[in-house]
Amino acid sequence: MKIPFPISSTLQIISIIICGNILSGCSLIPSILPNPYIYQLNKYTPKQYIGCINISHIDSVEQTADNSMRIFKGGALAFGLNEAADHITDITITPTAGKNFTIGFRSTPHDYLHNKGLEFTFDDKAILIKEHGKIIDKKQFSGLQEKKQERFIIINDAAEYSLQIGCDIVYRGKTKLQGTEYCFLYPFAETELHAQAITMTNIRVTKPSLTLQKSAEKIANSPAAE
Amino acid sequence: MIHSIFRVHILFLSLCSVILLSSCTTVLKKQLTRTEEDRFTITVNDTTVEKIINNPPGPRDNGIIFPSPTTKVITHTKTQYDSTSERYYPNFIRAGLFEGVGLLGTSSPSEGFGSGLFGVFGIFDPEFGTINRNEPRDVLFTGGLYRFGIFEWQLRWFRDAKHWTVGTSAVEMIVPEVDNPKSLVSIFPIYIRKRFYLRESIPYIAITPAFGFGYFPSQYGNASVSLDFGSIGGLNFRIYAGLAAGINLANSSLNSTSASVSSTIPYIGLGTSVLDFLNKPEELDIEWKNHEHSSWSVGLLSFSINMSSADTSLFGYTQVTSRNRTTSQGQPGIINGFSLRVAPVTLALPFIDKRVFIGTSLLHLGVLGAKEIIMSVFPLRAGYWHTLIQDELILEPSIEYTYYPSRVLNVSAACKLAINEYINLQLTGGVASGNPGNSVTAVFDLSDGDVLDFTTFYLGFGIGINERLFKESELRYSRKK
Repeated sequence: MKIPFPISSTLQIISIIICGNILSGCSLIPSILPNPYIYQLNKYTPKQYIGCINISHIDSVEQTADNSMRIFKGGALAFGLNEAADHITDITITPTAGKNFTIGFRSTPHDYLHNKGLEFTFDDKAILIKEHGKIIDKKQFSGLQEKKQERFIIINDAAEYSLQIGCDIVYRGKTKLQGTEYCFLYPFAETELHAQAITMTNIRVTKPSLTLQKSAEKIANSPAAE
Repeated sequence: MIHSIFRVHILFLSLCSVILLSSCTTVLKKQLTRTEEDRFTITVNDTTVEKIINNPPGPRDNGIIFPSPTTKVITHTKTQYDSTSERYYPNFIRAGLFEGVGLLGTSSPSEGFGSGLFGVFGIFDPEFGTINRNEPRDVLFTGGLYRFGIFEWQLRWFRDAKHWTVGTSAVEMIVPEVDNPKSLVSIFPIYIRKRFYLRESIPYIAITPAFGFGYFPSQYGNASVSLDFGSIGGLNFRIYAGLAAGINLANSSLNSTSASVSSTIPYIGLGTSVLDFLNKPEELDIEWKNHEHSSWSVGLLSFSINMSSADTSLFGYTQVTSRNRTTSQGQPGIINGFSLRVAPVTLALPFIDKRVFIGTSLLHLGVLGAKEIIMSVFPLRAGYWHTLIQDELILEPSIEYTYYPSRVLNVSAACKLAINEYINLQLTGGVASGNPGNSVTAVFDLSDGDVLDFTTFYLGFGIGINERLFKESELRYSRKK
């Protein structure tokens, strides 16, 4: 008679459990599988990291430098500054083909298809300001020139927002839409963009301790309430 | 005796993988669930206008508009609230508790391991894993392949080419024959798989080529291709063909000799797995709450203690020999036995309001008394799922036929009270009639003189551990238009 079962020592069973905990606990295997749709910008510069999510086809976007992204036809990008729903986004954009595109904010990549938030759409002759996809204002604009770079600064602070192109503040507005951590950039069908010097600056950090419920709890537990 | 050792090890390993899985619940949750959080800031602008009219004292002429000093205070306030929104997604392509494959052609039938169909039925054979040179035997399933604690994650290479996965399992064992050193065993072997889906809706059908290697204690490579059917309620069926080749080093835990032993194992096999869930890559972007389910319940363990009409309690009996005949004798107690189901599943059928179900479990061990024993692998169960109180209290009348190793018909009704998503309390009453079977009497050391056929009424009170009861709205049949 032969004993078929191979593992017999308790030590080996313990080693299995330890190895299991190490491997799965450190998420070793999943961590070597980076998501190719996610980029990290400003990795090598002393600025805040910017999370960048490709929300289109994998081949529609390419990282060209530490804080530069190229978006091909049909591509779309979401930039996000962690925990900052009030922020300043500063991007220098060069349309390499075509010149029509949209900069969006106050939405999330998860919800973007259903809730477009606020958008600045750059047309040939005007800037269309849209809220949830509906045009709420229109601003005359001479239009961008192909292959000429332009700097865009969007200040997204509380209920107010503004768009600055170069040195000119071209639009100021107010909205009731809630602020999010993200800013979106997507070119029209025939347009390709090169977004460079992408910077996002935090105005205020969102804290879970400042939620409506937590605030109410804080007020209720304050000595004055007694 | 030898096969009992194997059984004990199988049970021990299963227990270890359950402990491994449950001991690191937080870690496991992270592997099972990806949490995404969005943060929002809500700004509330509020304006208060306070108008105070101060009428001067003294008489005034009526009928004339008389100016009076007015103070108007306008206060603007801006309040910002933050809110966080968390979403939960599956984080794995495949997560499973146990996979067993009965392998054909791994050795000569006389030296076969005898794993049986799906690699589990043979375990309950009295001749399992033994060779008596004086009594030649033939087994069909000569080898077995077992995996415990299986995980697969998306492998996003080749520009995110679809259906590639990398995975591992806590333990993998490829046992070609009874001879110990020929077995290939590894902890956490690494596998790369690619699925080609033939059917893209539940239950999925896919052809899956795979290549993997193990490194400790055996060192080997294993290339296979399988036709996969499932998962549905965590159940899967697979047909395998493959080749495993490797080595057990000298004086290693598998090979006590002073020379290394190499193994080359070509195989084909029939396998199954339980609590083994499969997601397609696109399903990783669907929130857990929106996932479709096929079962009324899926669980890890179900345990109950039984009162029964058996005349001898499991917990107090002796074997008495009289006139060369040994019998088990004792008194019935309040508690006469227990029931244990490993990996029970209840699959909804898409007719009669989806409430007719079929079910099974990896193992059902029902001990109703000292001699009234039901042991079963993949018993067949059918019944009706009746909701008494929405989402909380379930009545589940069912009829269960256990065909191997015990042959018992079990008619019962269970009341299940959901305590939370993972725990429920159960009250089960029923009658079981049949015979424990030869291998069961051997394992439980029942005496030759005992009358083994039984018909026993029972009432059990128990608990479902990690057993989730699903709502009607969560069934995929409810979501189809």
